[in-house]
Amino acid sequence: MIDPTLVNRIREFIGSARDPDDGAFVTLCRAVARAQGRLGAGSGLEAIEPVPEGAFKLSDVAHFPRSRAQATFRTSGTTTGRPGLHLVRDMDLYRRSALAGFERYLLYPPRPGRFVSLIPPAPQRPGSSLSHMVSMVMEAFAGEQATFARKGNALALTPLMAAVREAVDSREPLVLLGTSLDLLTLFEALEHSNTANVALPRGSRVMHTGGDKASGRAITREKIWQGLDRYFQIPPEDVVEEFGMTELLSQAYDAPRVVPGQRRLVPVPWMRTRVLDPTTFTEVDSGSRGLLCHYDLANCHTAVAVLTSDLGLRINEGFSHIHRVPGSTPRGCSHEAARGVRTHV
Amino acid sequence: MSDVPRPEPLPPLSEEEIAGRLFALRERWRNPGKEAGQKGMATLSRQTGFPPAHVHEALKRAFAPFTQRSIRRLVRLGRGPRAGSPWLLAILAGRIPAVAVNALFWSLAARVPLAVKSPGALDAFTALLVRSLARMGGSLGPCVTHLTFPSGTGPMARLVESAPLCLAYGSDHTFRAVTEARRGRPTLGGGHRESFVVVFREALERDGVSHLARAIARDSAVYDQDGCLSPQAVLVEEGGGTSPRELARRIHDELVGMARPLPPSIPPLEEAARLRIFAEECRYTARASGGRVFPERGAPIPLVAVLPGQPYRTGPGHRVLQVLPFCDEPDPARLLPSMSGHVQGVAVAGPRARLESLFEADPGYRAGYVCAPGRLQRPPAVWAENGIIITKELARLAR
Repeated sequence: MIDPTLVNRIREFIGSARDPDDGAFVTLCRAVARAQGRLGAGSGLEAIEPVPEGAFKLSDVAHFPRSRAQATFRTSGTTTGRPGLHLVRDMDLYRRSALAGFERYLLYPPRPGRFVSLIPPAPQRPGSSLSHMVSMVMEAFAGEQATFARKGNALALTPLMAAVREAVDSREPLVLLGTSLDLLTLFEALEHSNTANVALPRGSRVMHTGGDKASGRAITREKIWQGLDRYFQIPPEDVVEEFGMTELLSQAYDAPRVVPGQRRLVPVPWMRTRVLDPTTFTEVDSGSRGLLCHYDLANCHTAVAVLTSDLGLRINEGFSHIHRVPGSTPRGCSHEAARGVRTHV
Repeated sequence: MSDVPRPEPLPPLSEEEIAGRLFALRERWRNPGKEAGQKGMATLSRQTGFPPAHVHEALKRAFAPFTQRSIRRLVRLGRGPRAGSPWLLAILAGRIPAVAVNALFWSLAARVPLAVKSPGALDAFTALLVRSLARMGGSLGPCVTHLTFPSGTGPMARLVESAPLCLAYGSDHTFRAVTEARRGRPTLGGGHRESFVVVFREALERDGVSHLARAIARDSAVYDQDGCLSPQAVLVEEGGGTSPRELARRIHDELVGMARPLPPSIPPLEEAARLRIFAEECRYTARASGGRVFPERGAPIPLVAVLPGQPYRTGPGHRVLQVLPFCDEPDPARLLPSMSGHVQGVAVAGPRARLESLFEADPGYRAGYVCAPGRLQRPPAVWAENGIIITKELARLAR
């Protein structure tokens, strides 16, 4: 069991981390790693022995009995006969992490009041960490103005376009949430329908999350930008990419209005991502590629450091151009969502 | 077919003459550096990814089985009448020079001319080999051609469909695709194959364990586990004079020592990532299951993992071995589930009769090549690759 005092310190850190404080983050991270028995020699994050992502498929990665898990998130792919399981001890911690990150990177001014999700809510996908996150976001920030444009496995174009028209009429910015594959499906549906292109009010924005390659259908972020510009007149600067993993309880965002400069995914202040040379296990220089290793304080009950099977390009404090190491299980929220996604017009 | 160079039929040579010419070819490569030249050796190193000392060893091993005696035996196996002028298309795979050498010796011993399609890693070596044969004189040069057009092109597809005989290597997918494209024409070779070692307790007495560990490590280090005869797993019986864990530690120590005579390839980023992920997964599992990984932390290769209760997982190569302890008789279906039907070689330390019981209990694990540890990467000139003695089979098919 992890000391509740430590968990409270993390809760406070998440609540107060407006600007990243690296020293405090490293201290907390090391404290969690020590409690998890994963702290080796060294003075920084490099001393923490990360848990490989595959471990979540091999055994329960948890510092508490399985019976005390408040939720179980499941990965989509499997090579070992069992999907990856993330046992979540403290849903409140996930909620705080998800909401604080979303607020920081999505709710920049002008603050939108209308929300449409192409991602199904948690009751429909209880094993999906993304669905839980979206449900939390809708409940916390959207209130009455929340629309789930989803009917079973299908996108529901009618409520989506109704919400869009209401946003236009009220001149209130709208947030559209979806996986990359959802957006691809939406573009295809709009292409084949007689729906006229709409100019959403200024400040409208989109959060999309990747991981679509395993589905056999894929869309580049440039195509997403083009599609959103074409159908809703949302500029690329208001298209925010979210990066999350079932094995993590925090996210990274590519939000150019919040983090200017070269487009890249930047972790929330209570998470760091180190891009590691796989041979030496040292951090690569900015501009080089390596294995992504995430250090997430919200994972204090499971694995504070997770070594992924993703290769990425380091860009300063962030990363970009992620792809799976060949031979690894395909993953991604779109992969999960791809099971039978179709459009219901 | 006119756009594709075809090998010429063999001239009417006696068995002795064919054997003599093949032996002369082997002799030219006794000193690989001299035959390939400095520039050639550098190219081979770059293309195969093996450091120079490793390439040198790989070339020596490629020709070593072809002694005067073994070539004569091979040529005798390949004798027989020929109907028409059959020729062999060899589609090679991987980066081990022995694959090209074998194809050439095995086909010419059967009096079957050869067209070789090499993978990128073996392009330079195949070209040098064909050049050696041509320079040697003695009329065998035109009987082997090196196909240099890219895979997936029209001429290659036509060749695959029409070649009278075909020897194909590669992944299961590639082999299946070649077989299907040939619509019933004879296709030898095979897809993915792996090898393993079995150590019975009789071989675990302390006196011989150092030698045993060195032999297993050498089989694994040669070609960086990239060959079908490279051992990936070591089944070790509990209850002998040395525990599986202790043997694993010794194998690891030997692997570390082999970095000097047999320097490892430097894996590209994606492979290095696979190695790291595999190593960290093994380390995590070992901690959770009471196993042990050598080394416990740090570099991902060389690596020897002992994970009791865990079955073998397809390894990433590059000198990563999985030691699987067993009691009484080994149960390969439990220990090596993914290897069933894919075994090329087995090295056995201890009574061979016990290995035979294993094969009888589960024929899916029967290997075409059985030897002592340390001999896996030294197969003889005549052996049943994928269960077939190629020269003999070519002679039969060419009748």
